[in-house]
Amino acid sequence: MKQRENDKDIKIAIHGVPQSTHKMLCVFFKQISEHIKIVNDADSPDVDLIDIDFAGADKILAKQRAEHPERILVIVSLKNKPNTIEHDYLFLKKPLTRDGIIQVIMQCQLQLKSPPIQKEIEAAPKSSALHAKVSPAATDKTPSSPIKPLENHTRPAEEFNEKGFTRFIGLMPTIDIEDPAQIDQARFSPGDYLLGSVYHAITVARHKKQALQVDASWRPLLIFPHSHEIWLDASDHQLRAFASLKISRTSESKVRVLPVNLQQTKVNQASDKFQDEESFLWKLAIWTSKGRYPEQIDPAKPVVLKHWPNFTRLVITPHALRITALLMQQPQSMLDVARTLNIGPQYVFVFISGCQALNLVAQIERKYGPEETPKKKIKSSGLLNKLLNKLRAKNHDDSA
Amino acid sequence: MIQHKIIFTGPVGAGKTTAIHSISDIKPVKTDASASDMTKGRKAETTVAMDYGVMNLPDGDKIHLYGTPGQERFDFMWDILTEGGIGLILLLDNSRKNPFQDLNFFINAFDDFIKQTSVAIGVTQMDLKATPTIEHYHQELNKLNVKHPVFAVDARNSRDVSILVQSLLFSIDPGIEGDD
Repeated sequence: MKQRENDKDIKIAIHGVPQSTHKMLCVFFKQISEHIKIVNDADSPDVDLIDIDFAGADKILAKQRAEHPERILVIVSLKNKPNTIEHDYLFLKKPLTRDGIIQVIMQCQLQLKSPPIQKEIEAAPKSSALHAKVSPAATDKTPSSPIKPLENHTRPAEEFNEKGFTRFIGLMPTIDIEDPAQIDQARFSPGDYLLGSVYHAITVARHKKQALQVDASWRPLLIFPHSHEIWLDASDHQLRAFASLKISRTSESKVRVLPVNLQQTKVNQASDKFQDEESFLWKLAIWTSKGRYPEQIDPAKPVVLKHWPNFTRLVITPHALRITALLMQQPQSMLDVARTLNIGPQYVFVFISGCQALNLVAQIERKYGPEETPKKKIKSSGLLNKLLNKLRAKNHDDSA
Repeated sequence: MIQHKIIFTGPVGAGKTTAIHSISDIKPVKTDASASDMTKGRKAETTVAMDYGVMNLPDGDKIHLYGTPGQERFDFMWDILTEGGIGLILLLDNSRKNPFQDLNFFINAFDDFIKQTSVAIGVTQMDLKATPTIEHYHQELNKLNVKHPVFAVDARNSRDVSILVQSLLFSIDPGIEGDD
């Protein structure tokens, strides 16, 4: 199958209908999803949709099959599914309904994007974050759905100062940076939480190029690796509450990662529940962290930040931009970052938790000895400070 | 008197005019005109001289926002515009044919200015064309051995533009902290 120009769009050519019906169908499809494009036969459609009740439709069918056997065939008829057609085809019964069309479009997407169905999911690359079980099942390989709004993907970032962030994240402990016991207690294991399960499942889904469902005895969470999206039927408030609950101690055996069976999900009925995968993981990580750091990161060893997070599409934790800028200049330990910027370590920990969920951090051995004199605090520039205040005030005004 | 200014640059249609408009305290002074050359296909009107906006700060300080003309035939103005600038905002249109070519062109064109100050890169039109992704832009920058901020940006959204400018300021000095 040739490479498609845009994975989200699906191009359909409609055959065997009068011009007026063609126009009506164009409008109908457009209302369902802007990613459904009605095109002419010359525009290399992905799908041939043929009304078999139309006089001469059998000739159109034969011609299309002969010339374009690679296209997906959708047959439309008032009658029940005909058994006289020898080609593989999808069927839509008239009168056309929104749900019926959505089902067929989803199936088209499956065929367009899926390599041959694998009956078993093999072991994925090892993730340090999780121990959830991956169950084999023979179901749909799932594509991104074209039937969803775009708003989630362009949602602007929320930017928090310390006070506002407490409201967003819930109570966050203050950590004394000079107390090793407090620092030690501020670690958490992502594998004990939903975060670990989701992180692992995303790794598996990407590796297998297959949509997966995380079943953690809560709401089903679907991962669509082709479009980098998550589907979850829960509000942020509910997610925040569940993110902070340990699940492995009580129900480890119940955390399962399964292939998605579209027929059994509510994706079609709730297409507004899609979220960008990166924004979702980031949010989940900071709600899980609550000011703690992932146990895989040593707070005393320098952290390397791969690149700037895409802050315009993420929740911006307090001091996140400063921390990033500092780490981009030079790798430093989380504790050194807190000291250099003179901020509570919990803000560095929560930020690094988000970065780790997005695979943006690595650690290196300390290049200088622990006895080395502490870093000088960076001196602020008056003009830049004033400009920063102005920009932040503008943001607050705009969101008020 | 020292002029504090931030320069907005990028190819035709990347959203420089809109971005300046979204954070300026005054209605930006526009010098758009009907496009008559290679830009015609992309915009009905395009910036042939420069855009100008202002952010008024306490104590009478001002930050002047200058947008460079998108067309290369005006690149003689870029050196003049950047003189004394705080830093550079580079906006790239992801729907253009080869946005990496644009990236490399502008990074090279403003190389000296970026070395003296800093740059933050905003990628617009990602809703129209999702690839290259932000990750791809970072990979491209890695080839140049630089690690600048790169964000998906809607130039109409003042918050997006604000975060982009903030990242520029922190890149210049991570020590600034504001009055939170």
